Amino acid sequence: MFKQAVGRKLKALLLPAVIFIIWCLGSKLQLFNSYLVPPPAKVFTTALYLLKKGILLRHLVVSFYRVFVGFAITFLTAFLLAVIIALNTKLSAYILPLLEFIRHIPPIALIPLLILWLGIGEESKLMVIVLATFFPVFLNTLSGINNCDPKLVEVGHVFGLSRRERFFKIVLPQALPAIIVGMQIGLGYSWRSLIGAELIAASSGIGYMIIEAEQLSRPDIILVGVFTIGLFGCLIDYLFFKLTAHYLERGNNQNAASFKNKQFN
Amino acid sequence: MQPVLKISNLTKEYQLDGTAFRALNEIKLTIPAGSFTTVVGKSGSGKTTLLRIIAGLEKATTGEINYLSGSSVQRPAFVFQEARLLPWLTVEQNIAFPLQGKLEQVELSQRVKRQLQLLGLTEFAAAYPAQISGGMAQRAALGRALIYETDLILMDEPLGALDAFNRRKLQEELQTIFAANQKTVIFVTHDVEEAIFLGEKVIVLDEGQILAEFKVPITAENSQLFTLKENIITSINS
Repeated sequence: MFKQAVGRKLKALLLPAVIFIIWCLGSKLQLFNSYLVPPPAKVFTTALYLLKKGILLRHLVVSFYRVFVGFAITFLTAFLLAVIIALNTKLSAYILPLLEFIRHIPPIALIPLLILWLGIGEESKLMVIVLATFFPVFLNTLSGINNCDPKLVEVGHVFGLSRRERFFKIVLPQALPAIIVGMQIGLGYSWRSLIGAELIAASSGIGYMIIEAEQLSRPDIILVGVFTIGLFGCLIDYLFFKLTAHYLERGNNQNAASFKNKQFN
Repeated sequence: MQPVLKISNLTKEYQLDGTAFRALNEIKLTIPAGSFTTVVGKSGSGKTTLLRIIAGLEKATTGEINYLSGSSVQRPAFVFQEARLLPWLTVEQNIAFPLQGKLEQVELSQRVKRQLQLLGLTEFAAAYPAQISGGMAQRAALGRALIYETDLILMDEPLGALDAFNRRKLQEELQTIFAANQKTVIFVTHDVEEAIFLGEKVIVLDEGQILAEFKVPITAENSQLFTLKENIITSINS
């Protein structure tokens, strides 16, 4: 088991290690133009400088704030709308076609309009994140509720549960894994949309740091920004997974196997 | 014995491709308190529909179901053919499910503990449904029905999906449990032997109608039971 886990981690590190070695060798042998691909040492020194000066942290805090506020707004609106539509099937005929239309429009395409309507403050940036993350949360919540096993809902009927009790005690717990997966995808999308959001006349944030570095022709800072987004994206994903693993795993067969091994053999 | 349930002229019609299909036809039935009634019949005879209407899961087209005065039944408990345990709850939590939030936690825990002991599930209290066998899951479903505060339990072929060994074991356990619990049971099965083994009265249903009712003698010899089985099978096939 332990060997398998170590083996999996080594496999995951193999490709990044190969890319890193090519990057090091290419820079050392001057195969790459250092103006376009800065050497690893230069990127590392820049990262240390940005950390020491608190620049990276300041941008990170702002980006985190935008991601979490944007995602919180998304979750509240997408979750509530999905629940309302799932419980009032007649409404879905009016609302779903419009949402389907909006789903196909990339949030970036709406940036000019968002600036006109909401200005260049935080609202327009948050709106880009909301638009980018709304659909995974909304569609997964809707499908989780709609695909709830009617046989289990009947159990609630039989034991005299009210409509509200059936929703909270049977439908919602059954939809929870789908909702969590939607949230996980949505969180990932929120990081990806961050750059787009911070393109809008921002003066801080990791996205802004990258855009500013592009204007200053500092690919080393761009790479620090890119690695930071990737690293913290993975970290958020991992923490979210750890926080929600219990709800995803409870009662599934994998869990069953481990329980049997522990208890009954 | 005081009757607990009286069914009068119960009819259920479905519309299939514009044609009316009668699943139940003028059913009249009286269920005495504390009795164990089994209902046998071929597939499509209306057994499950009858139980689902009594449970309030479907509406009758015409007819009435009355819980008689003095009966404490507000709503019957139901044991389905499949255990239908909630997969995200443990065995213990599944048994507690009907009374969750309706009783003090200490009182509820004690009742659940009693059911776990009665059904031999104490060791598996913390297991999830996916971690236990079909027989255990069906026992947990029975515990969930028993804990529900009702005197009437409806069982729709609850042993149908089990292997022969587990089926026999649970049949014996059911006999013991219901002898001790004084609940009224309506038990649907397509197995005539099971119907005789468990029931005090066997009702034969065919094409939505009651064809015959047989009383099962309490102390019957094997030859008597064999004759009863033959009579029931003849009645079903007539």
